[in-house]
Amino acid sequence: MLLEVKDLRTYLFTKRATVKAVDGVSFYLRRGETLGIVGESGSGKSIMALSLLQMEPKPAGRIVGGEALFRGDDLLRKSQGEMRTIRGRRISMILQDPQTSLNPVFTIGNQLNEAFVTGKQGLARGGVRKAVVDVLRKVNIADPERRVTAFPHQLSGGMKQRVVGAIAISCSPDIVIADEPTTSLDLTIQAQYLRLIKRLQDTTGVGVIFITHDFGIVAKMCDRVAVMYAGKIVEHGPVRSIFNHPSHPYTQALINSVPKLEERTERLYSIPGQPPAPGQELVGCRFAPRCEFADERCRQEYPPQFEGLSRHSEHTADCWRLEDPTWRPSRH
Amino acid sequence: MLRYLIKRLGQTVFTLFAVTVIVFGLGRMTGDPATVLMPVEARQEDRARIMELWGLDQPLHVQYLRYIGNVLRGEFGDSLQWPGRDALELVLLRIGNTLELGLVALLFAVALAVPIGVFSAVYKNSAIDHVGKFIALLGQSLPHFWIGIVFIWIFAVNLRWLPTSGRGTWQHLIMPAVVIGWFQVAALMRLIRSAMLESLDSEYIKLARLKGVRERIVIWKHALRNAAIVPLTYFGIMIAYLVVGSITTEVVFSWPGVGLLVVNAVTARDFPVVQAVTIVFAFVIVLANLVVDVLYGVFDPRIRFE
Repeated sequence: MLLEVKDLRTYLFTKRATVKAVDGVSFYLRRGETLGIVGESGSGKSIMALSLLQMEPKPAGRIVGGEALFRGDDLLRKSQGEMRTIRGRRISMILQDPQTSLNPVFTIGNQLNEAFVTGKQGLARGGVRKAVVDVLRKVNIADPERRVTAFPHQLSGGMKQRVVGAIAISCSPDIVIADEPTTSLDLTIQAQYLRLIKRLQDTTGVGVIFITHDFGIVAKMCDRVAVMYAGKIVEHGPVRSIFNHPSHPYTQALINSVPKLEERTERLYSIPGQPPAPGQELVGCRFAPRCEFADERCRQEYPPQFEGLSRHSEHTADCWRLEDPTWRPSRH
Repeated sequence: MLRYLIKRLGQTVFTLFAVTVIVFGLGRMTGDPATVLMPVEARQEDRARIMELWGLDQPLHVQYLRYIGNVLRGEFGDSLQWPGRDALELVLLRIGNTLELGLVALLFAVALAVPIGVFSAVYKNSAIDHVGKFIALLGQSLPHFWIGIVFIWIFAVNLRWLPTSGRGTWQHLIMPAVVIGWFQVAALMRLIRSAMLESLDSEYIKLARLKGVRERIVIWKHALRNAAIVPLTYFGIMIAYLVVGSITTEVVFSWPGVGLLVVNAVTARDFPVVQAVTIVFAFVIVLANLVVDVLYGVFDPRIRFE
């Protein structure tokens, strides 16, 4: 097991309230595997990912519990100094917006150099330059020798995001966390970028945590998927199993809200209601106020996790309705 | 970059031209010099002769053209206070002293404001933040001449560490430079603090940390390099303040600079000298702003490659 996260809790302590942004999240990642984390904005996906690297938004954010075992070693117990040697080197991250994630006043080459220099002290000067050009070539940047002297504003959005990708893979990490890497790119560039990630993964065997709100991308990219709602993972399982037998009403609603090409509809489906406001004291199932199946118990008590759904040992979901075996999807 | 520079240079020439119009206009607005300079009982014919002699009987635009012609040739007339001394020469003789003082004051302000601004942002709402704010505000709220006198009393009279006044050794520079520079620390430090806060909150800082870059490099390279662009804008204004600050401070410390000269010239109604000082100060400020604009290009590649 490459990464095993158990009961991770990251709270945001503000003057008004305590926001349980990540509220007991558990998942795992194997070598060479892609895990999708799906959820609406504000569901805690990004804070969860940043917490793994002890980069939760400070000063409000604090990891209050849980463990994150990376090759058996708990990341949450490490000092900031130790984490620095893991960030970028062993676990790297691609941020959402390429327009803002590169430093505008330094060249592409400079920013890539830094990744190499902090990562591998052993490289000689000429070696670093060659490595920079090589990694730019790997992410399909044309004419990389010339691009190293370019500033971010001289590149297109898609190219910038490929540079961010190059930074992420520069030290051959074990895990790349991609936080909505294609959200701000237009559709054709998006498809290109996704293919690029897929290819890099095939050649390097890196484990990818792919954060997105788009189930369409999950279907294309991921082996397994975890659905996050209001700081909790409400359903988790192999992509195929989740798509064929979504067991949590929220997952069902999410899948229903992906527009399908073959259907002609007057109106696109949307989930009624709003996610809980941050800081709201939550008892019971987080989704209950928006759920058409919710009853009194759903609102009072958080449901247990049901396993082995659709006869797949890895498929789990948190929903009271699954107590009734007739509701549990079975494999046909 | 070259085209940008040429464009800026053109604007600079225009600014200086506008300054001459203002200096000329203000001079005429204070009344006609003949009345000021001649005795009350002077005859009308003598007045007219003087007016003719000085060209004051000509229409304003002719007077202005003659004036600008003289300025372009570097002729500001002779000083009235020291007959036979060229006004511009008097200014140029002392401008070096004033620039020396201003430069040291600037270095002092930057040397104090940058670390205070950076640490206040990094350790927001900590003791460092509050103490820094206090030191900076003190400098901004106390008038130059008062700080100057208090400094002389403490460091020269009582402690006998520094000379009371005049120019000579590096010790002579310390007090006046600190007095002028301190005033600038508050504004500069607050600009750096807010720019640093914004920069530290950005995605590129997040990515730098995600790369595993040392916190020291994250702050002093990634964040400060971006944050420096904002206070740069203030530098132009700051130079103006340094020049203005030099006037009172030079008097307090008897610093033989242009500030001291202009105070004497004003009390003696030495108009040619006052005009020469104004033009030279304007030239210095405009030049400083041009340097700032070039520095923009150095700091911000988005401007350089426009």
